[in-house]
Amino acid sequence: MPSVYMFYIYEIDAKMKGTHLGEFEEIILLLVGVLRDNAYGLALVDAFEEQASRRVAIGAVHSALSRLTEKGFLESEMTGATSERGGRRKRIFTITASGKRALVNARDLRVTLWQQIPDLSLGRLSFDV
Amino acid sequence: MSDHREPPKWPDRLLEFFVKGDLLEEIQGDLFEYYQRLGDLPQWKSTWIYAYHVLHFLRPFALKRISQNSNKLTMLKFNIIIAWRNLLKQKLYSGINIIGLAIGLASAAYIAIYVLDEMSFDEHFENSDRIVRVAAELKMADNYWHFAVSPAPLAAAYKSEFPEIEKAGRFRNEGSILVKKQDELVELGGLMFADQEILEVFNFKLVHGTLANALTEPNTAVLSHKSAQRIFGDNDPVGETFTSINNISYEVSAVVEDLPTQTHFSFDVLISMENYQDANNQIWLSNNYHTYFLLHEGTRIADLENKFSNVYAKYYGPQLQAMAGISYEDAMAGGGIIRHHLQPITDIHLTSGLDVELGANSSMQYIYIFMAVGAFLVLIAAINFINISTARASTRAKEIGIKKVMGSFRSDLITQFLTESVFQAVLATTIGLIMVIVCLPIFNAFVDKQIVDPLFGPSALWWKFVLGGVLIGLIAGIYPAIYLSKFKPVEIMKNNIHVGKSKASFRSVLVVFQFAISLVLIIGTIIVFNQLNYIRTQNLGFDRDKVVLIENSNTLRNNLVPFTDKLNQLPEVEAVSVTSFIPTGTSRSDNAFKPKGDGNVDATVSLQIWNIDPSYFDAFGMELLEGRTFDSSRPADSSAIVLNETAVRRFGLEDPIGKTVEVLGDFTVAGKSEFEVIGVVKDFNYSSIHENVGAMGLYMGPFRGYYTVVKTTSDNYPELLSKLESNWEEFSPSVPFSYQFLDEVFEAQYRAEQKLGSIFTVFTSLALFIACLGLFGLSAYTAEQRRKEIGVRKVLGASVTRLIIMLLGHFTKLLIIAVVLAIPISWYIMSGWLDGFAYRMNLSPMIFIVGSLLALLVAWVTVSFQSARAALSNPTDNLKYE
Repeated sequence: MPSVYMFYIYEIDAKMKGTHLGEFEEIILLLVGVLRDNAYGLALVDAFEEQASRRVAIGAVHSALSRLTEKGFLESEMTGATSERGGRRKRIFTITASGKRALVNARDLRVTLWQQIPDLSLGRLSFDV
Repeated sequence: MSDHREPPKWPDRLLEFFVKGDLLEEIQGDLFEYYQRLGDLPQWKSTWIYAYHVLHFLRPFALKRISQNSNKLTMLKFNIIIAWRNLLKQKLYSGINIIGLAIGLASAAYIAIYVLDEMSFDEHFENSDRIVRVAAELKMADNYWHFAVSPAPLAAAYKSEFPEIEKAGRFRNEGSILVKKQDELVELGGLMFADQEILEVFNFKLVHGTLANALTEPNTAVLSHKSAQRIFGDNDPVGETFTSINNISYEVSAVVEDLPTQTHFSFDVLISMENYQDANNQIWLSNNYHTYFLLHEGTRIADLENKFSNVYAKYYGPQLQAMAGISYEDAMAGGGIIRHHLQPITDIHLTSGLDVELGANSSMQYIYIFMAVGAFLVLIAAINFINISTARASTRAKEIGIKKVMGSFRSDLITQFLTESVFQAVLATTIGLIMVIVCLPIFNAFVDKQIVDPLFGPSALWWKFVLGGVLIGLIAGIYPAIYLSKFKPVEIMKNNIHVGKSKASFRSVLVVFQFAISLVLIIGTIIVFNQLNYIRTQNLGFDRDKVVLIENSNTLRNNLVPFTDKLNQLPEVEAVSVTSFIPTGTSRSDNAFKPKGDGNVDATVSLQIWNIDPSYFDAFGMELLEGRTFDSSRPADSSAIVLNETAVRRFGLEDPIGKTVEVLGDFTVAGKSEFEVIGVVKDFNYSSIHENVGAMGLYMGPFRGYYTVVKTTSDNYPELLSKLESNWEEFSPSVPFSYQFLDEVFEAQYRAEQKLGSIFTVFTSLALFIACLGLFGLSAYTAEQRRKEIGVRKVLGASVTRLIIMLLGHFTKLLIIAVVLAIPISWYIMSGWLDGFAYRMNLSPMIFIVGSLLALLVAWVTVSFQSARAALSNPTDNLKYE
């Protein structure tokens, strides 16, 4: 394993506790990227249900967003009060630099792991991708 | 905004209540937006979905931070920490408070458990709210009866007469039955004959078989589960038969679950009423059946009872005329009473207490006494709390002063002290709960019940208990809280306030109150025990000592005479008598008599009419005042009678010997309708100590009976019993030898009173203990307060004894006031209790003196412990303190 990779883990660990990116968190984080300027709670719920074909409680998404903010992967801003929201503003999320890094790391880890699976066994495992 | 639907209010409020302020807006916004999409759905459904999502925000991330957002909560947390530190700092006083309250609460919980259990009698039947028993109140001439039994034809007659009665059935209690099981005999104690309909009234829970038509045929029986197991083992016995010692076979048609102990009657076996010939009699003047009705839903008992009076004349009239020669109208006009009333079965255990009950009843009076004792225990513990908190005020004064100077509101201080007291109360409650759970087996053995899980079981007492604990914490804390928070900071700081002293008089009142209560309990206990002892030592007109009752003598049949002859030959046997009637409350047999030739109905006397044999008076040590006892060699003695003094008086016989009395109406006793008086026996108490002796006649009927009564001169019971047993086995190899001692049977009558006595003792000791805990704490405090004074006095030459007397003096004054208060109260209450006894002790002043001295002694010991310590301490230590 590259030593740089170890370093990142160390650095993030030192800064904050629990920077592990869970599966659900990872998807939400990616969806924030997908939705860009419209990445707020309910839109993320809709996007999640659409893309992942899974039902989710609004509270669960908010909870993930809050965790991701605490970990420093997201930052947010209150904007755009509309009448559909009863005159309330929405919180628009954007991915931070360390958020991007975490996503890259997660992807790299998967790619590395994928690459370690030999073609033969891949066939035997019969992934239907 | 009119085109937007407002989300339901209450989930929104909830959200505002628990969600962090900085998250609230976006969450509410999202939910609002989401709610708009639910527009097509029906209102309830969209509300439901909305609420579902709201509740999904009950997650840690969204919740308000306690320390962050609420000043009140921060203070609460802080107050609890202070409470804990104070508790540790004053271990003695907190210990007294907590242990006292824990014991008080645990006792109160036990009393609650006991009372709830007593009040839940007969509630387990499916229709218990609609089942009633018929009780009869009758008065004829000077004879009065009020009993739980009613005439045989009543059930059927009333059911056809009154549409409110859905089902009506009868029990006929018959004592016991011996059942053959292979070579041995099994005795089933509770035998009752029963109508088919009574099964439908009670709808007993089944183990095997069915209740439908279970007792319609003769020679059918319903067994309790326990007795089915005793006879048939674990097999399903339905369809099998069992045979009694009289060689009658009964087919088992059903096995029902054993009745819970919370039932006012019990049985081992129910045999079809078809086997009981007397059941079809149409006599309304004879009362032998326990009749129960299942009423239709919505029937008002009082209305139905009122209707009964319309039919008394119809049923009683002809029979009164025929048997007593008096019309119903004349009988009623002459002060007679015929009244049937209905008792809801759930009330029987605590309120009935009539003659001829199916089992021993308790009394509401005892329930009230227990509830009062429970309340007193908690009260005494709460007083400790108030007293110690106010007394310790001086130690908290500086803290209060500083807090006030720093800007604390009075309400904050009140909250603080309340928190402290609730905190202690909750601790005490927890300890109390643990005590209740740990001591449950002891309690069950003590009160003779099988309560399994009173706290967390169906009655769910635990949360009431906790709630009660918190409430007591609040109530006990409110006075000290208000009092302490009232201090003026300037005066505290200047140190010229006599904190704690100004309220000494209030504390004194509470101490007096505590000890008055304890004293009432102590004197009450002493009186209960004295009365029990009084009963035991009463001359009841017969001798209870050295009398053995051999049971099942009726099974000896032809061997009875040789058996008793054999016993009579034993050197240590003084007399042998055979009878079913023993003077310990269980034997009853009423019949109405009048002097022969007296046409006046008012001369009728209801006699206890008992079948005895010639040696009966010898066996029981009864005294003949006039005439002679029976002589089996005189044939005329089969129609002779011995009356007791009361009967002679009631009949108004001047010179009773040789007079004749006759049975009223067409009835006969042992086939005879008239009897010649041959003797008068001194009154002996044959029922209960609660009642006076009634009129009684004894005759010599056929020589048979359930008991063989053996009066002995020996003290060597093991030897005597083994002799009796070997003789029994000689004549009755199959029936097991079983016996009782008369004095034990007699004592068993007063089990309720004895139980009351021992329960009283325990709770009284606990009350005194808690009160003394409080006194201990107060005396420790007083001694501590006067440390300097004691030091100075000692230096100036006061002796230790003088100092102790000085310290004791104050408390002694309080205790004496308590004594003065407690004596009249306990006298009033206990003479009320004693009035329930026909044989009651005199309330001698000694009882009150002994009780008071006992309490004083305990209190003095408690106080002197601390006083002596203070008086003995080195004055230099006391004076350099501060």
